[in-house]
Amino acid sequence: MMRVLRLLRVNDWARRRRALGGTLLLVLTYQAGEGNARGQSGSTLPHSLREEFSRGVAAQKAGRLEEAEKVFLEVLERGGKAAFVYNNLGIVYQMRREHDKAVAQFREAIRLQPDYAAPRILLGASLLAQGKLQEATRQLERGVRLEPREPLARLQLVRAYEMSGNDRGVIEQYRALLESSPDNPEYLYQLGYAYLRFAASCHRQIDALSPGSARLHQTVAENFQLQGHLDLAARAYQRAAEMDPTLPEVHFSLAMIYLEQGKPAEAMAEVEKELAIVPYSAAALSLREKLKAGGPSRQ
Amino acid sequence: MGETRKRKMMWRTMACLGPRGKHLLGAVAASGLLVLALPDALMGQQADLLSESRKALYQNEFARSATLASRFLKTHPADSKGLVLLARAEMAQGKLEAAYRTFLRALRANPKDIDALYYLGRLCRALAVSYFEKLYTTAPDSARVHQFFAEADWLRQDLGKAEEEYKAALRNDPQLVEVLNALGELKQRQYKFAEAIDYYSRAAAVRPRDYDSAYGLGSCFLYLQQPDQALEHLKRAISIDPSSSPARLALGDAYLRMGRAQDAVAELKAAVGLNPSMRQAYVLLARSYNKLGQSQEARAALAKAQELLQKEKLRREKLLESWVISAEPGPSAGAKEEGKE
Repeated sequence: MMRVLRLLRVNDWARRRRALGGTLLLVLTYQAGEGNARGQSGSTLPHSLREEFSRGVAAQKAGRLEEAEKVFLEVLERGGKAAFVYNNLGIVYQMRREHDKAVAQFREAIRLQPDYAAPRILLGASLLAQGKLQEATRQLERGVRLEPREPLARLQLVRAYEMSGNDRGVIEQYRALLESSPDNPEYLYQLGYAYLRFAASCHRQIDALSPGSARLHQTVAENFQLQGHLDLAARAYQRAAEMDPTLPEVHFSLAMIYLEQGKPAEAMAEVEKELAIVPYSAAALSLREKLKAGGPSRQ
Repeated sequence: MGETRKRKMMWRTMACLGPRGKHLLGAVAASGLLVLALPDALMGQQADLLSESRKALYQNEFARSATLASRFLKTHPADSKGLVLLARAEMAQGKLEAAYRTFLRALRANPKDIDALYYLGRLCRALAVSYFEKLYTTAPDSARVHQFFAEADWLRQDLGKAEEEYKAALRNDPQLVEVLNALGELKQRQYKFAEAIDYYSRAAAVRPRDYDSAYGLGSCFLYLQQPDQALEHLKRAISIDPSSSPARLALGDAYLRMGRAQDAVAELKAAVGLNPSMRQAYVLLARSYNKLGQSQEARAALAKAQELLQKEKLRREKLLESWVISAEPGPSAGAKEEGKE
């Protein structure tokens, strides 16, 4: 477990943020395409156009995007103005990274059928690619409300939250994802990191609100302690105590470090200081008794 | 609470309630129910609840501490101190998710509550550990677990072990871009550029719009003195992330090495526009201006680089001063003793 604890200072944010990009978009794109091919959206096409639409979907899935575009445009021209046709045409443009055109198609699909989740999610993805973070987030949030069980929608929303530095939002989404797949290693890993990022963000906020405060030094000390750098940790705790001599828990933590370093006299002195601040601290009282009795010892 | 302040509060409350409120308060006062001494007693009780809750917390009576904090919060639902105490008691009982929600409530009530931020940070670290533990339990040989251990080894500067773990991760998931990039970076640090280029290229093949592999390839080719090759990858890196000042700096460097000083100036100016404290960019800017025969601009860029260098030195010295560890007793303790004498 020490190895896990030592990782707590990792804040490899930028790398991870970028990593979520393209692949998901592609997977989402394909999945939405298949859904629409089955007429999942509820709208229907005139019988005469269904075969042609299917031909377009087949071309799209085979990566023949020019052909797919042509077919979908023909379907629309011949009266097949259904939401899912616009959606699929949008997907073609999105796959070609022509986001302006894609956005127009997705908007039309949404206008025709506001409760259709796929174009909202895909619109969010295209808006993200265009750097329009606020609107992307809004669309993706609506998409998630429409399709709460669709993991790819939530993962796109995670991407938007990550780009805007919304750690709480990221945590909420991964928690929701874990509810449906409790043992998914990827979600467990990402949620763990999301919490670490949020912890780091709390630390930064303390730094901004109260630079050099006792709490800041205390946090630094705890991180050093977790990493096994006891000398550095002790120094940071000492600075915390200097900044706020009445702050509980600081001297107790110092006592624990001295104990671990085999310095019982120093540990006892710190316990006494802790008890001067919190006379009823059960942990400090218990440690004092043990130290008086000649233990506990740490190897 | 002073008498005048209590009266002011009462009048302010009446003003908020409007004419009907005034009438209501008047009726209550007339019936003798409005006793001005009561708020003091109530407030005393409330303060007692908080201090008792805090005491119970330190006495390891966590459930009692939570109950007392909850009682306090019934009358002060948006008091961040009360909410922090409740959350700490929940945390101590192992109710981590409940504690998380309560800390968020505390921060909604007072976004500047340092204690709420501090304990929430601690809680988040605990929650992170719990999810990493679960990951290790459910999928001990998964790519993510190996990646996780590799990063921990890297943090401890044990690069040999880190490489082993990264390679184990790749055996489970050969297309894990983050791991391919990490191995590329690791090899680059060891000056093994051919291997680094191989890993970065594999990452770029999996995800063509990946910034890290594009930048990594560009910087490897720069190290190898092949600016023409670097150019292509650095341009790609910038197209993926136009706000990257390191990529602009590297591209400027590549142009300069190719003798394209005018292009170098454009990129380096963009780099310092994005990051005004990028000293290296000013150094390269000075060289580029010199090549263009613009000596005045070159001098100005060099002066800026010198200024930034001085600032960096000062910052480093300050950092060293505060964190240097000696074999002697801690400097601060020593200073105190001297002061006493």
